[in-house]
Formats: sequence, structure tokens, C-alpha cells
Amino acid sequence: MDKTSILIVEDEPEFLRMYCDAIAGEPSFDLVGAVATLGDALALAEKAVPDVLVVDLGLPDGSGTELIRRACQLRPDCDVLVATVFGDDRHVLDAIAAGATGYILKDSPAAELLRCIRELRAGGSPISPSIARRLLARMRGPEPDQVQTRQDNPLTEREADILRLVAKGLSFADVGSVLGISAHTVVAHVKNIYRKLSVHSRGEAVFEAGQMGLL
Amino acid sequence: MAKFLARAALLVFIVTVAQAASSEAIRLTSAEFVLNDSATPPREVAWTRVELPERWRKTRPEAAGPGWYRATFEVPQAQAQAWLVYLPRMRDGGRVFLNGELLGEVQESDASLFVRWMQPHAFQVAPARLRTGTNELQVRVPGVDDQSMSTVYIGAETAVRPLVDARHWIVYTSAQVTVIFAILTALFVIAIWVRRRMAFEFGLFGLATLFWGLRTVGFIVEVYSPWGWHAMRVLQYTATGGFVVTMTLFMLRYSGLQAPRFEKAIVAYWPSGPLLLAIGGMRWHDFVDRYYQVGLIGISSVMLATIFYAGWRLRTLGALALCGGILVGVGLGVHDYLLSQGWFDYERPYLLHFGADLLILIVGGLLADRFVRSLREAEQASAHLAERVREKEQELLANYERLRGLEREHAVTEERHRIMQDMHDGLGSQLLTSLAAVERGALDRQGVAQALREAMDEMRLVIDTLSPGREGLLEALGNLRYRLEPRFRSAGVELRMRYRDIPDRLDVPAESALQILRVLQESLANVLKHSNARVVDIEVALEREPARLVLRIADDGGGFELKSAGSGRGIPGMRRRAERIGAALEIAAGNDGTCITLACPLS
Repeated sequence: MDKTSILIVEDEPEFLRMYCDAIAGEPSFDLVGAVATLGDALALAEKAVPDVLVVDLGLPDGSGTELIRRACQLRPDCDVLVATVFGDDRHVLDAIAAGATGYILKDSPAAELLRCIRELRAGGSPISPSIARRLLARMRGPEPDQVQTRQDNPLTEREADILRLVAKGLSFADVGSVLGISAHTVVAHVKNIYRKLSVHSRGEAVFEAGQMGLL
Repeated sequence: MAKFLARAALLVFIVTVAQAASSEAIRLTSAEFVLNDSATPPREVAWTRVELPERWRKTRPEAAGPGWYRATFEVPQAQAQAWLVYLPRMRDGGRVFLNGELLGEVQESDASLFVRWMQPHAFQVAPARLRTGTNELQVRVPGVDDQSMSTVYIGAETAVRPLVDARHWIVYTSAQVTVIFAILTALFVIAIWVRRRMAFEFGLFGLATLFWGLRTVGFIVEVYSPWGWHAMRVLQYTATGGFVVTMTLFMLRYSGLQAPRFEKAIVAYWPSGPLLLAIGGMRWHDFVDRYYQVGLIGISSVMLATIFYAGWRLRTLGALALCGGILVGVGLGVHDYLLSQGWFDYERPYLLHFGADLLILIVGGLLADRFVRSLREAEQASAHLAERVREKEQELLANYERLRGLEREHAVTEERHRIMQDMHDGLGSQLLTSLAAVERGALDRQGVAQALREAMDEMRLVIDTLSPGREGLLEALGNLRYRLEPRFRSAGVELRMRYRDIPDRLDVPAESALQILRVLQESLANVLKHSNARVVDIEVALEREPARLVLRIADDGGGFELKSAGSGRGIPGMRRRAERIGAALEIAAGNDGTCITLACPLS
């Protein structure tokens, strides 16, 4: 089985080193690059997009979301893990809209980083209650009753239920037991939701670009 | 009313012009007279020549009893159409003969009734009854007290009828109109005055108008019972006097003049004539008619002077119109008085009611003007009031806005203060104690990492509860659990969380939420540090009566020493936090685990 290729983009040397050490110690992972700037990262991505990108959003020469968008264009099945200090909703949501499929708090233990990457590769995505609530709001408008009436609501009934339960503070295991599915299925649903948001966002971007006369 | 006056003026004009222009009508201004009580035209008697109109009081003061007038007129050729014999005034009735044959009869007074004809009388003559050449007209009069005889018009009906109609209108129809007009106006004004006690002038004017209407009734009733005539005369003097007195009072008030003694005097004078006539009987009639009315004319002249004074002083259109109206009225009143006293020829119509109509019109106009003006003032006042109310409303609104601004500011200050306090108690002291420990060299690498991690956790809690747009406590609890899950996973401890009777959304104040989360975080940190537990159960329950949120953290570990656990933080810190939000904290530690219960009252 091929090793999972990983590119790390992080301008903080401490975190960069920590991530590098963690990945280097995992035989099934192959660290293909560890860079500190958006420019270097884009240059690498243009050559070959790795299986997994670990990206810090606040880079010295630009936003990580730009890299995420480009990488997902070049390779839609690429998994992107956003490294964030506070799990700040808005930036994380922007990153998800750009194509990220998961995020991790920067101070998480090394083992957690590896676990996250494995979960992503296995088809799942982590999600916090705040992010779930934001996603729900963003994808269906402000009124909960409008789920059925809104034409462009891309979420299925099941997906909306999952987000609602997560937003209420339930763990994946609890959500799974409420809905009668496994925790793994729940995280797989979440990943789907992330993908939908990014597609949805691209649609909106196209629409907006059309409106602005760019297309 | 203006139309009425215009029509009256037109008719006066027509009468004048018609009388001048009706060359076809013969006017008999001289005749022969004899005092004779024959029922049919007498012959072979001594006639004397008289001028018409004739008033006996002047020409034959001692004469009494019926008498006969006769006059001749020429009819040049045979006539094809009917003629009219027209007597403008036949106050006391009588009989008219043509060529010895009765032409018509007008009721005379007798024992059972009393007549006082105002309307003109005309008798139709069939063409066959006219002789070509000389015709003779004979009129029998009853010869009552103050008997008079008018001139006689004779001519083709087409020529004479307009004269009859015009006179009828002037002496009779216009009086009827005046009665109706005056009484309706009076009732209207008095009704308004009674309902809305406005200026006293309104009441005076209403009364004056009412008196005028009653006075004029005497001009349209022509046949009375004997006592009816007496009553009518009393009524007429009462009404005339009432009119003059109330109108004078009105003028005094209108002019702003104060003459209380004069006012009392004229009010006292007013009933004197009518009372004398009512009590003393009809023999006082001529006396009252002559002298009481002179008094009224005197009062009227005071009224005239008053209004002229007002007109000169005020110089308003209304005052000047009043002057004109009064002048006309008094002039006509004097005219009528002189007419009744025989100064003018017998046929002249009484005209005062026209003047009174004019006066009522002017005064009514003035009062209406005043009424409209006070209405306008009221409207302006209410508009002004509305304006003031709007201003006040805006002021209130501004005040309210200011208050709200202050409140908002106060809330922001309060919140800031709370955050500062929080930084001081929480993160600040945490960093400070860690720093002191590091400087003292008391912490190894792991200890430092632990201290920083705790500081980080504290900061996340604060951010979680303070950032806007959060949906209450549940989301923050979920976030906390989500953040801590990796640590529990790597420590091999299962973290379970259950909700009991919790609604979809639970709002508690940010301060309470923060302290609840801190207690939870601290408890979970203790579990990880000290207990060697395999499972942690978190239960969040909403209890009713009393309404409180109960947080229960139970682990199956070995428990921890209550006394040794924690210094600034740990259990004393948890107790302090619970106290701050008025919550009860219970810690039950045993060999099979520890259970921490936080019960937070909800208002």
C-alpha cells in the first residue's frame, strides 16, 4: 500500500518541527514537504498535490485558504487539515468552504494530529458544535423551518439532523446512537457535508462572479 | 335673505315704475263724500269734494258712522277684457259699487270680530258692466275710529294686476317671510346659546330676533276676535319694545360700553306700555301707540348713537355695516311711526320689517363671523396643541434614546468590568502563579507544559462564552467536550455526556455559563490528573421547582484527597466559582469514584 504523502505549511517553527517529528515517526506517512510560506507551498502544490495538506491559515505572505482552494482545484480528493489556534468559527468555515475537510487545534498532542490524518484518509471529518451550528446556518438560511422550502438547500434531512445534534453538544457516538448509525458513519456524513459546502460555495462564487461580470 | 331683499327692492322699483308707466290705469285722487248710513249708494244728497287718500282724523275729526265716496271715470270705448277696481288699502273693510250695482264687499268689524286688513283689495269688473263713456264708482266705508280712504286704481286687469301683486308682496308676503325668517333665526340662535353658553350677546340677539318675528305677526293676521285684537296689540307693543330694548343692550355690549343704570332703566321701561294697554284696556291704545313708541324711538336713538360711537371707534367693516343697518332701521321705524300718526298718505306701506330683516342679517353675519373666528381660533389652538404634543413626543423619544444609549453604555461597561475581573481572577492569576513557579524552578518541563495548557484551556473557555453569536450553554458545553476528547482518548478514559430534560436551547447568563464551564473543566482536569478513572459520566439536567441546572460529573477512579487537592485552584477555586453564581457545589468522594454536583439556580 502506498504511503500517504503529506505537505505541511506552517510559519511557526515550533509547530512545524512538532508536526514534522510526529509524521516522521509514523511509517505509513511520507512527509513530502514542510514549508513556511504560501508562495513555497503553492509552488510545491503546482508540481504535485499530496494526499494530505496540513495548513496554517495565517501565513506571512497570504491566507492558507488560497492554497486550499488551488490544491482542491488541482486534486479534488485531496484532504486538507486546517491547523488553528482557537478553532475560530469564521476562519475555519472559510477554509471548509475553500475545500478543507477537517481542522485541528494547534496545541493538540502529536498523537491527535496523526489520528486526525488517519480519520480523514478513512473518509471521516471532525466537527465541533460551533462549526456545526455555523454550517447549518450557512447552508440553509436563518430559519430552521425553511429546510423543506429552500430550493438550494444542499443538505439531506439526515445531514441536517447530524449537524443539529452536534450543534447541541452531542458527541459523534451519541449522535450515532440517536440516529441509529455508527460514529464512523457520522464522521463520514460530516465529511460529505464539508464537501457540499465547498461545492456550494464554489457555486455561489460562480454566481457572484457572473453577477460581477467576471465570467 | 339677500335674495329676498333684492327681490323686495326690485318690487319697490316695479311698483314705482309701474305706477308711473301704467298709463292705461286710471288713478282716482279726488272724489265726493257724504256721511250717510244707506246700505246702497245714496242719491239726492249733498256731496262734498274731497282729495284722496283721505284720513278722517285730519279732515273731519268729529265725524262718526258710515259714509260714502263716489267718483267718475271715463271708458273711451267698449272693452273686450275684464277690468280691475283696486284699492291699495281698505284697513277697515267696506263695500264697492259700480254704476249703482254691488261689485264687491270686504268684511267690516262688528260685534263679533275685528278686522284690520293689510292686503290690498281688487275687484274684477266684467266688460259688460262697463259703460262706454262715464262710469260711477261708489265705496261705502264703515266710519270707524281713524277711518281712512285710499285712492282707487281702475283699468284693464293686465295693467292693474301687477300693481296689486306688487303691493301684496310688499305689505303682506314680505311680512310672512319676515315672521318665518325671524322666528327660525331666533330659535336657532337661542338653541345654540342655551346649549353652549357663549357670549351673552348671542342670547340678546336671539331674543331680539324672536321679538321681531312676534311683532311682525301683527302684519299678517287680519281678522281677530275683539279680545284677540286687544291681545295682539299688547303682544305687538311687548315685542316691539322687547326688540328695541334687547337690540340696544346688544349694541351696548357689542360696543363695549358700560351703562348699567341706563340698561336697567330701559328694561324697566319696556313693559310699561304693554302693561298699561293690557290692564287699562283698549281705551289706552292711542295713548300707548303715540307716547310709548316715542320712548322706544328715543331708546333706538341711543342705540344709534352707541353703534355710531362703536363704528367710529372700531372702524371695522362689521361695525360700519351695523351703523348702516341701524340707520336704515331707525329711519324706517320713524317712517312707520309717522305713517301710523298720519303724517304720510294713507296708502304708504309700512316698511320697518325690511329694515329689521336687514339688521338681523347684519347682526347674524357678525355673530357668524365671530363664531367662525372662534372656531378658527379653536382649530389653531388645537393645531398648536398637536404641535406641542409632537414636540414633547420627540423630546421623550430623544430622552428615551439617550437613556437607552446610557443603558447600553452601562451594559458595555459592566461587561468590560466583568471581563477584566475575569482576566484578573482566571487567566491572570493562572499565568502569574505559573510564572512564579517556573522562576522558582519548581516546575519541570512537563509542569510548564501543563501550566500553559491550562492557561490555554482557560482562554478558550472565555472565548467560547464571550464571543457573539453563540447559542447558549449547550454549544459551549459541547465545544468543551469536543476539545477535551482527544486528551481523554489519549489517556484511555471514556468521556460520556448525557442530557436530561434539556430543551433544544438553554440560555443562561454568560457569567454563569463561564463559571459552570470552569467547574466542569476543572473537574475533568482533576479526573485526568488524579483519579486513574476509566469512565467519566457528565450529566446535565434541568430540574423544576426549584428551577435549576444540575451538572453532575462522576468518575469511577480512586478519588482524590479533598484537602490536598489544589491550592489556589482545584476544589477551593471551584467553590469560589460556584459561590459567585449562587450555585451549590457538592463533592462526594469514595473508594468507587468521585461525584461532583453543581446545582445552579435559574431565575
